[in-house]
Amino acid sequence: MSVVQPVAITGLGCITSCGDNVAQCFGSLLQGVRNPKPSTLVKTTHKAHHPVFEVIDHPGIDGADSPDLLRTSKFALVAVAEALGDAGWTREELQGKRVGVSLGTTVGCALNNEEFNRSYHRGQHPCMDPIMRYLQSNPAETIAREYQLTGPCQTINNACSSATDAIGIAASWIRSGLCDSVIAGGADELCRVVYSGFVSLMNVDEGPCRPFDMDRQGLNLGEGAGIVILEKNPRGTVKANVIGYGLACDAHHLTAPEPDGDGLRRAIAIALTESGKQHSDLAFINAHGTGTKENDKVEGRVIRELFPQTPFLSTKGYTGHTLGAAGGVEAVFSIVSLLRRVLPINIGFENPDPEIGAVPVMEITEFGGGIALSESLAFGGNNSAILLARAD
Amino acid sequence: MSSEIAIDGMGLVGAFGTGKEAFRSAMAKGRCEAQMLAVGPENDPGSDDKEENLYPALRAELEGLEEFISLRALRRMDYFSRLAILGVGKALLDANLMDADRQKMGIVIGTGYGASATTFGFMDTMLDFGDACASPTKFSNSVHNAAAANVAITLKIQGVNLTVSQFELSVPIALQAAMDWLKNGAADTIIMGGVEEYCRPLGYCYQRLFGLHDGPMEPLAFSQQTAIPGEGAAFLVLRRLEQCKQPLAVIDSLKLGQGRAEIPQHGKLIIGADGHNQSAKHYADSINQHQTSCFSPVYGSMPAGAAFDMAAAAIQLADSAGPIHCLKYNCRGDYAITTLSREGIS
Repeated sequence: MSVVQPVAITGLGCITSCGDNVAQCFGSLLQGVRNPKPSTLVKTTHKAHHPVFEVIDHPGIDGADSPDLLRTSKFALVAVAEALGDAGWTREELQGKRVGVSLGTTVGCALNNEEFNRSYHRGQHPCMDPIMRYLQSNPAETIAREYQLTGPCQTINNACSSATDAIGIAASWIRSGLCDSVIAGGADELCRVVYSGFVSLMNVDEGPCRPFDMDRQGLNLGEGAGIVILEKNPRGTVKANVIGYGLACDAHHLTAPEPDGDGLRRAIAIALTESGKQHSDLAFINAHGTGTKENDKVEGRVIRELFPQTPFLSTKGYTGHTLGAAGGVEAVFSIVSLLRRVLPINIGFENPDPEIGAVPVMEITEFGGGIALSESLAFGGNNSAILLARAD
Repeated sequence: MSSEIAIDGMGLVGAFGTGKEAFRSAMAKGRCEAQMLAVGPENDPGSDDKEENLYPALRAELEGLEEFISLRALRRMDYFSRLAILGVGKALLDANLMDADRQKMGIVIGTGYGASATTFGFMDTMLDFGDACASPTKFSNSVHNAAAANVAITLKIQGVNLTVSQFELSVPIALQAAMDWLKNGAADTIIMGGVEEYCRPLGYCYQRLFGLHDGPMEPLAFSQQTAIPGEGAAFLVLRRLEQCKQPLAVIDSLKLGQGRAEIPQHGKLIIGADGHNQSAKHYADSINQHQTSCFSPVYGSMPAGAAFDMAAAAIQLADSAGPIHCLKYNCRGDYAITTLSREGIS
């Protein structure tokens, strides 16, 4: 493999429980503000009410518009609108251009409507609206349809690494000449089915999550979207570049990482090879850091061994685990950190875990370097690593 | 490093049976017989006996899974993953790659509906036993990438691993990623294909949306709705041409577009029309004077059907110089043209 051509990122968009846009989200991170609470959307009969990071009362999500779209697609629309505006693109300017869409999701592609299934399972004829909504709500297709885009279109379902993979593959589209611009990232929504699924796996914290902390008990679920605009010939301000991307599979277990982190190591190695950079060139690492025992142990050890001097943090303490959106949200946060040369703290962390042997960022940290690594580890054993470089 | 990507083997599972020869025989016959299956609301007494609650489907015939996975592991494996494991395993055997390096081998899967049966099954455990008794095994197998993950775990494939869900264009866009990874050296071998599974709720949705169906699939009757849901797995072993042992076909090009497809004049055409009249009009507008085939009555209507069309093209190229263009549309008018030939294969 050889060093690849950097691909420019000109626009950012983000919506999570900690903010309706990039500025609000990152502001919450710097202020150390987070607000996990029991869900207003997801009602269950579980004894414990695991806190979630829910987007509440956003007119673009909870309003009456687009009742035929899943919540995931609405998140994507909001974040894409911000990102395109940030990149200086109007709707009209996009027409006739070779613009692709590459988004990651988990819930957004799942045929898991409970209302339909409950009725059908109990011998009744259900209303077909949920099925029609599902067929209309493929996230990438929703964006392409909204903006009348005619470029390549894909929705990636690689569980928690979906959005990182979506951005990495989008960069390869630009390099291969498939299109000139790509709207890339991820979106996902809170869902009762998925909530119960994670509770059944017993890796959800009954309190706010504590990534890398010795007493961590699991993850909190979240929702939202993180979007970047990639361009071949940027005409506006370039904020950052995608300089490397690696993907490797543990081939070990459906829900637990390989104990030695072999897949993660290989993904990082591939990304570094593509970028032509060394381990020591990294300014910081945005870790996957879900707050589960196993993920943080494996990932933390790999970070300690490969990057002993590099600051690292998880931002999931602010947003929850947004599943298919996580890689997009974290790419946005990484780029903003690079631009502002400041790292928020790894909220929720208090006590180092001797099994990890590494300590994440515990105070607001300024830095001078220009390259960030964002990692995502997924159900199924996927490990994705993407390298982002500040444009200067 | 060569930029030409070739098909070095294939693994096929469907209503026609398992394997390349079973598929080839079915292609010659032109169709497979559908089964009439109960699709009415579950747990409705007497519902299954009513004729109006029957709907045709082309269910797959799985043979030979035990060659790739132990019976013990198979017990915990859901049907969607079984389809994928069988398809990928057969593809590796066909390409004589069972002993190849697995770190530079990848899996790329296109699927429209994913593990839908497992998803409905998981929701049923919540309904029947309460939220607290939801099945963790069913949940972890219900995610779209469960098949790709289980294939990787079972067959120890440790390279790139990707699942794409873009309905009818899932497989072509998966192919794009596979080709990019092979060309840039991120992988030496990628087993790329499509998987779809049938489930009772899917059959019910067909019945509700399209009404009673009592005839065969007629995908070339463009004004009619004749789709019959199918299930199966079709996987192609993709490698750079110079690494292939017995290449079946070269992938000359993959073109993605919208509207009327401009199909090169020279060569034959395989269309992915599968009896859905919403997408049929696009095929009708695009077909010109090409010699046109359609094999969807062999595997059924499914979003990932394009993988079977590519396999059909590669099989036909054994007796034909080519090129063969595989055309797949979605109902929005987005299309993919995958062109295969034997150019460069001695």
